[in-house]
Amino acid sequence: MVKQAVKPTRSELLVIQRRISLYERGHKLLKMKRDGLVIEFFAVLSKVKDIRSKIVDDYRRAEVKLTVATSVDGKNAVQSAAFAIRDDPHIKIGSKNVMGVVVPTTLESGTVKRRIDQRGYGVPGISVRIDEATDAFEQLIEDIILAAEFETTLRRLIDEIEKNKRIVNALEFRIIPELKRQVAFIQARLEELERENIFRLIRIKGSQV
Amino acid sequence: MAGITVVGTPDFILGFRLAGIRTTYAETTNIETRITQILTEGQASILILHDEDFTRLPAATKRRLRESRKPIVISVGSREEDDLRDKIKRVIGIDLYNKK
Repeated sequence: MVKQAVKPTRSELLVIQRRISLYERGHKLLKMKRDGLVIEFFAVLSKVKDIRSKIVDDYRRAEVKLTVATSVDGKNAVQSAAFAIRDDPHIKIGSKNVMGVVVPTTLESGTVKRRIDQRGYGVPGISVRIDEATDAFEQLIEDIILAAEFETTLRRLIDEIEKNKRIVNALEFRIIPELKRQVAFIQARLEELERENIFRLIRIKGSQV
Repeated sequence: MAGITVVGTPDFILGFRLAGIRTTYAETTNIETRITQILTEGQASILILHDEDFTRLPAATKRRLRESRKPIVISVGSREEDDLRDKIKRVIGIDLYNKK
């Protein structure tokens, strides 16, 4: 990047000093925003860790139940039950603002877990193993919906923290120090001009005398 | 109302069909094509994949899935989310995701 030559004038000094003041205020606000984002991040992180472990356990359990149902009742029975199920679970995705980051809100999953009579297959004709496998997968889907919300929130917070960190560091270590160097340069130059003026006046007065 | 979509082997999607998910795609070899189609359509709100299928995808597709806002992609299986852990380590500087 080419550095612009700084004009050593009083007006330029004032402009740069105002800019420093603005950037320092912005730097302070961005640091506060970063702290807020990190607090939100930690709150969501614990939820994400819990829900992820739960999904791993739920999936293992559901797989076992499905394997048992398939082995004992046969794949055709399980597939017939799967085709008999009526509706897709209804979910709604909203959004909310967390420290300026748009994140998905709680996804409504009220119709995921269903009673046996709401599942669409004839209760007497279905074995308890298929029911248990269905239960296990319904629980898994509920947890997946929660995980979708929490993990997306966490990823967006991380992205925002990363972006914010870059701006804060750029201001703190590059932009503000560079401007302060320019101020020091202009002040030194103005002082030098002042000294030259004084010396010139003394010489003129000396020659007049 | 948005929906949940599942893509994977026939055995993988069977359990989700039992739980009432209607939008399922049984794919063994063309998973990447199907996923690209789902991402382009943008109808699904959540896309569920198996961990092993997700790992086998090309890096560009994986990155696109991780950054996707609609659908939100969740991989299920036996592994924890390594990429999230690496991202946290990179941004925060500490491995906060380690197990106690």
